[in-house]
Amino acid sequence: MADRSTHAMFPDATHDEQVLQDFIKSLRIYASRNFHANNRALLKDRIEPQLRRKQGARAPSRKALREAFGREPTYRWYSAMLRTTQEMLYDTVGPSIERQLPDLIERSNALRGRLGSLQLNPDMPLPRYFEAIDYHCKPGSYQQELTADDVFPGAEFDRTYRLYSMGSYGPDLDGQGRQLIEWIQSRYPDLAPRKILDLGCTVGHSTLPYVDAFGPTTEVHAVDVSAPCLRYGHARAVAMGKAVHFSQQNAEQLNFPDGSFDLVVSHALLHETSHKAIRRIFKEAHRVLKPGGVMAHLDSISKDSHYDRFFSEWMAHFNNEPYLGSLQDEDFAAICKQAGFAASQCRFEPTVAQNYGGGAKTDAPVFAFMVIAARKTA
Amino acid sequence: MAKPASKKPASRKNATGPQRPRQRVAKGRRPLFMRDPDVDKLLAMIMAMTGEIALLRGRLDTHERLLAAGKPVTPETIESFLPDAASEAAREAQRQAMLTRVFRILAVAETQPQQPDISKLVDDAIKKSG
Repeated sequence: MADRSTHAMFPDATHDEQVLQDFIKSLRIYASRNFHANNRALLKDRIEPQLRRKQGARAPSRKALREAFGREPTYRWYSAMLRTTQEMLYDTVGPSIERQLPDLIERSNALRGRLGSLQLNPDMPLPRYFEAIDYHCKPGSYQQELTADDVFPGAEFDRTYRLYSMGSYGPDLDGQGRQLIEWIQSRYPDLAPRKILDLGCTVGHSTLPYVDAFGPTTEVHAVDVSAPCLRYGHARAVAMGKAVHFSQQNAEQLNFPDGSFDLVVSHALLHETSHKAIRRIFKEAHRVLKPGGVMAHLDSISKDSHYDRFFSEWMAHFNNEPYLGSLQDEDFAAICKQAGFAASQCRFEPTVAQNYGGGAKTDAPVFAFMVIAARKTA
Repeated sequence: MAKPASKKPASRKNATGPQRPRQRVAKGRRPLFMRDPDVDKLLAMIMAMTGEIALLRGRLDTHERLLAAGKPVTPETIESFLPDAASEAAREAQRQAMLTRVFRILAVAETQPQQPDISKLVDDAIKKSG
């Protein structure tokens, strides 16, 4: 039915596939709205008072919060519902992508190299943390390949991310990119980046707004470890008329020479890495930045709110994002310092939660993100 | 003769050859939340069934909107039907109302701890009305 695509690479859906996918979006809106409303009430009315009696004013650990919630029937029902919704998301979109995969691969191959570039490295080992888990409960995760020149996980992601974000990231799903660009432009008004690098770009949803944000002469590079996501992302960027240089690289060990970029960014990448990897990623960002260049990472981090900390712990365990929990406890100023940035040049700030969708269809929770940024000494 | 595609699901990089079936379930044992794991399974079935009802309802809605526009209802017109923003909003409102009805009992259960026992209310009511 209804081709609601924004670009020529976007996977198709039959009438019934589209109706079922629309249902998944409604279910996700319903499940997450009720999960959050009920668990927020539980935290305030039962769990915080309980924990205060037990351990005084001390901030509860993520584990203590998780265990206290686990005893509550309401929490259990809505947790089972939210987890099942995530499984249904892939079980609904996956078969639709699988049936049209030959056509998607043909379209991707036809668009290959027509704008920007794509460089794959089949010999590159995948990070251990990336191979260990099927992130977001996505069967086969982001690297599954079913055949040669595959784009399956990328094409599936373009559809599932649209449903998962419930419309709040806009039709091009670039809300996170736009949010970080606005923050960078407000904090570093003098920054006029000519070369930009996006780390862990997946299919480039957040990368593409950088192509036009800083003027027509900007050169945008994007790296990810997943070949099928990069193939799809490259074809998608060509289809959308955006020149991006995609390459298969690990953000912990980049192939770019020292001092290559004015701006290095990432969007919701850090929480998919690890305690060791984040330190290497910040070091590499510092190395590939030119003097005066800026590193800025957008991620779901909350230092203060018990509820946000509880929910990161929930997502770590039940949405298969293992590092999202302990990321909350990291000392980002120390990691920036170890990476070579001057302490006075580091920032740790919330962004403003925004809904980039517009219209009545985007009646969904929108979360604020945190930015970890640092400027390399000029 | 071409070799038939392997039935083994693929989860590997640098694949070659004929298309293999996609992996259907995420790695690792599924988390259970309910006291009885069978309740987790039942909930998943009810959610999937609700999706099937939404699918029927959506297909019916397409029929009605085609007919209202004076168009024939054929598999082709159904496939090429494009709902406008108003019909999408109406469908979304219907789906939210349906989910609220299907999962009504969870919202009821949430208000229970504050409520007095029903037998006590009944006894009191009988006593008061003599």
